[in-house]
Amino acid sequence: MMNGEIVPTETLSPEQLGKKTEVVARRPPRRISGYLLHLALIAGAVWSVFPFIWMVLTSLKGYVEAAASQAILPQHWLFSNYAAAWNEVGMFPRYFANTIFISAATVLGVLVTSTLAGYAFARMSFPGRNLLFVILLATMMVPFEVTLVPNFILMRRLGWIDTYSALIIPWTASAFSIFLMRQFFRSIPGELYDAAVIDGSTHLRFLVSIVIPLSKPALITSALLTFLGSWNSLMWPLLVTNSPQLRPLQVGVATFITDAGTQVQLLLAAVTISVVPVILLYLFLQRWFIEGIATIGIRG
Amino acid sequence: MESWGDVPILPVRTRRIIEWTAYLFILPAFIIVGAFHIFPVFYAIYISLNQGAINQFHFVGLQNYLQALTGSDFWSSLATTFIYAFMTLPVTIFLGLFFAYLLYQRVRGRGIYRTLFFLPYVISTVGSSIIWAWVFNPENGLANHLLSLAGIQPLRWLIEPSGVFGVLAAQFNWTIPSWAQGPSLALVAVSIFTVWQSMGYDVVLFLAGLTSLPGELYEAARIDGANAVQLFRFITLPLLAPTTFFVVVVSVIASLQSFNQIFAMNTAAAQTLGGPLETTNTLTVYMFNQLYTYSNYGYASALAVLLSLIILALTLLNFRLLGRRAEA
Amino acid sequence: MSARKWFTVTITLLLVVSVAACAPAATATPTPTGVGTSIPATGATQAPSAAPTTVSAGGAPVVINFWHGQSQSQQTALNALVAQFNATHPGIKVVATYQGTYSDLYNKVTAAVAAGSPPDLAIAYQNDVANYIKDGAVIPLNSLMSDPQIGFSSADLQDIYPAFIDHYPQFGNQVYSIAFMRSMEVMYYNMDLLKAAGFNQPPTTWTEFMNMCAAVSKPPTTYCYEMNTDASRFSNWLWSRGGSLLSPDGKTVAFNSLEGLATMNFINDLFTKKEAIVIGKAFQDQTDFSLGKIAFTFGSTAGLPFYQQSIQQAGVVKDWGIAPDPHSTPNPVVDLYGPSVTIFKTTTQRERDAFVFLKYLMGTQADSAWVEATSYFPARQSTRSSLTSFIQANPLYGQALGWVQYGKTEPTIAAWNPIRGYIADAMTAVANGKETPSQALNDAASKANQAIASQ
Repeated sequence: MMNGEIVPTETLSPEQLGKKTEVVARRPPRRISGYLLHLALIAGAVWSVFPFIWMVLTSLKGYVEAAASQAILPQHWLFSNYAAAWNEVGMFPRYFANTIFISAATVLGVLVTSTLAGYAFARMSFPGRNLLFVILLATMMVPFEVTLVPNFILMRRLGWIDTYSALIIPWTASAFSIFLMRQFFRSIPGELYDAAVIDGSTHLRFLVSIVIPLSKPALITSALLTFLGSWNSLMWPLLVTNSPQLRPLQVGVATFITDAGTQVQLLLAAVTISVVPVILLYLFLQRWFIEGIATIGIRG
Repeated sequence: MESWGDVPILPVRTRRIIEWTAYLFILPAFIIVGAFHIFPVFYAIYISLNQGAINQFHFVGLQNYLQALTGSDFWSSLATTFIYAFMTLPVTIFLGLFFAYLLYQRVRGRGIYRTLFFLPYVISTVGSSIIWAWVFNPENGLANHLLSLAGIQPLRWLIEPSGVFGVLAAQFNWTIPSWAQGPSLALVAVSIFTVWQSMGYDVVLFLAGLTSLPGELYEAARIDGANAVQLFRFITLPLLAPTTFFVVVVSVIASLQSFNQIFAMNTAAAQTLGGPLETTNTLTVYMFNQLYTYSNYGYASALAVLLSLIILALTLLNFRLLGRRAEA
Repeated sequence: MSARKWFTVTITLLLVVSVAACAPAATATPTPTGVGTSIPATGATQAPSAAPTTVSAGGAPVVINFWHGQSQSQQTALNALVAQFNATHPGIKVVATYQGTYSDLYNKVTAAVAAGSPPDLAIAYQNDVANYIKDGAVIPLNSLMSDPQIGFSSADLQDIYPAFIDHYPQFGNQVYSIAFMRSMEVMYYNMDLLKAAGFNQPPTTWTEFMNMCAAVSKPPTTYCYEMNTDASRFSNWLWSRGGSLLSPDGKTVAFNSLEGLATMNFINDLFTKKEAIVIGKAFQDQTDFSLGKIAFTFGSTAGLPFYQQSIQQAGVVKDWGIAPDPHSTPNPVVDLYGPSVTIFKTTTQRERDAFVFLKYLMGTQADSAWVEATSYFPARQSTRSSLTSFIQANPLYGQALGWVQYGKTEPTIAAWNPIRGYIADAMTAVANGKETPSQALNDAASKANQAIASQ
């Protein structure tokens, strides 16, 4: 996409807003000394990234080297570890397909439920609003472990054990995302809303045509974090499924952990395999982040 | 133009109309949350009033709660929880905001930087804990290597039950009284790991907040001659308040509930669940132990309810203290 | 995306999601109190439904669910056994399902028991089985074992090592589980280091062991021992000094004895003389042993393939072996540990079918196939004869097989799980010089007695 000076992909029609709109390229402060900035970023990047690099390098080592060696670089680059890890699990393609499907469906559900509820909590007035919001937040405070048994019982009563429903539906709404969306919707200027009210717009129309386009960074963030949570989940999928055909990626990774010893290099190869798609997704979403910025240039 | 900053979010309570459609908006979320997230909470409360095997409960009233509140284990694990939160929360949030702000600047390779900063959060804890156990390895780990450059003797990190100040003082052959030993070095090491892992998460959230800020405000302020620090202090920080508030609330909840990081690091370092001499035994770890090692479902649920109440109280406090400013 | 598109997409998704969510959730949400308070009556309709088909009318086989924690090569071997069983038993179809690690497996079984839908068989550690007994979820196997039709013959019972049949003293000393995978606590020794220090044999007594330790330790490059802190180490060291873990009635612990103190003193000596270190990450003792840094490690024979691979790749250690722990008892003692198979309470017919499968697993043919795939120890003495070529290929395993007769097992009480934690903490406290051996021992013993009393 574009870089630097940003051209908006989407503007609001002046009639619709009853306001003059103008698109202004974003100009963040630029004065922090360039060198210091890069130095700090490089330091932070190294701190963030070195365990990952280490993981990838270790996944290319031999067994004893992976477990013991102090050297950073592998003595022999064993790319065959990846083939070995892939073959050892055997069902990686199926696991990948499941995880992609489950994560994507979960994200879609979360976006819909949290956009609607987040908007209501941010912008609408109704009795019990604060109480309901606190109840919602309270669900984030109960440790996951104590809810496993009741949720398992529920899944069984619903007949969802060993179905995609159990893997997806319970996670299609989250207090976290609703809270996140609410915060972002609240920072959208009230005058936009007033204008829409004067214009006779309904809430849904206002939400869809103005709020959502203005909230892309929040939507993307919510989607990303939901996706990641779904991508890395293990305990719940193991609990509610029995068929290998339904199980997700992390189950494949977990099979490398045994009581007697661990082939660290194969485990880390499996972890790397499982992580790459998420990194690619994030890189891809970068342009959406930038696009999101462009639509913000509305003047008061 | 200058009105941008002080435009109040329309205070809903000044509007008298009840918008019944709001219930339709929250309905889908509440169906899901109600069935799968609220119902289990009531179940946990119910179990917390019982004792016995998983399907042969008998009602004991508040006995589990009394047992927790009058025993020392609950309080010591609560103290560990708060020490852990205290060591991780401020640092993570500060670093998250700091780096998000840097990434928000128009720098070359911004997309790449952003991805790199997000990596820690992407890797599953199983994988990263193995790497960090290597970093903290007493024999030849990276952490000790770095310390040796500074002339410090090797430390035992994840397997060290002694207090961090005591360990450091011992480097200079000082001895310090037992009350001043501080949290175990093991807990400090787990905290370092946690900061590393959660920082990427906070960076992403702050970045989302920052990218939503109106750019032209900066333009105006710069024309007025504001410097970088002033820009940050008087424009970015106030405008970012809703995001900061969100990050603080969510981080407090997550931090007091931390389990995965502690569990994974102790497993990778071949320690028991509570770490060396139970010095990383936070309230969730204690609860997990009661659940799976002791099969005390009632008692474990009581611990969960108590923890939830503590978190709830802190969250409401957050709303009182920070929320006013963030949501004025 | 245009506003209209956003709108359409949002509405469509909203509809899909709410329809999907509403329909079942609204009708079937149970009340909190109605759940988990009682065991549903067992019967055909209440039969486990972990797999979609249970009993069908058309004479199709009964599906028996078997939950386990075996992954990768072990899973392949297990699936082969199951396939063979299904092929030879037309009325029964066993479905074996991997459920994660043993703790994942325990979580899932517990949840399934609470939901009234347990599997028919599951693999579990003995203290987990004790919890299932308390839940009323598993059945005693005594009557099935002596059943004239499907039970064990007396020849079978003579052939099977007693250590493979788990009795539960806390619950009428009945049999609730039978071992499926047992490995053994042994001492790994580096003969290169011992020879360099002038010894020709691995130690057989603890005095010899301490002498060798003093001779081989050259910190910080070489240590006598790298401790992988675990209650199984302590158990074996205690037994090899003639001590016991529990009192005969199983109501109190007995390790706070002279033998227990000697064991703690042993740990204390190793660490105060700087002859031992504690591992810093999982399985580091295996790695350091293969790099020639460590003269001795103690651990499971299940680690043998990992030691072999590691030693071969590192190429440092030429001469090494395994031996039973040094001992002051007349015979060596080895801790035989590993999870067992238990049968859940369902219907009489299902329980019988499940036992038929369990008996098949204990049969001569399955026993040797499983041993060859996993290097666990056979349940039957007679299996040894069919393992000749396997033993030739794995001489260390062959050696260890000879020590099964000295096998002892850890207690089968529910409190054993927390007690293992107290023992590990005591070992850590002594190794770190935080407590004296007697303090640590007495602390652990009093906590352990409390844990037993509260069960």
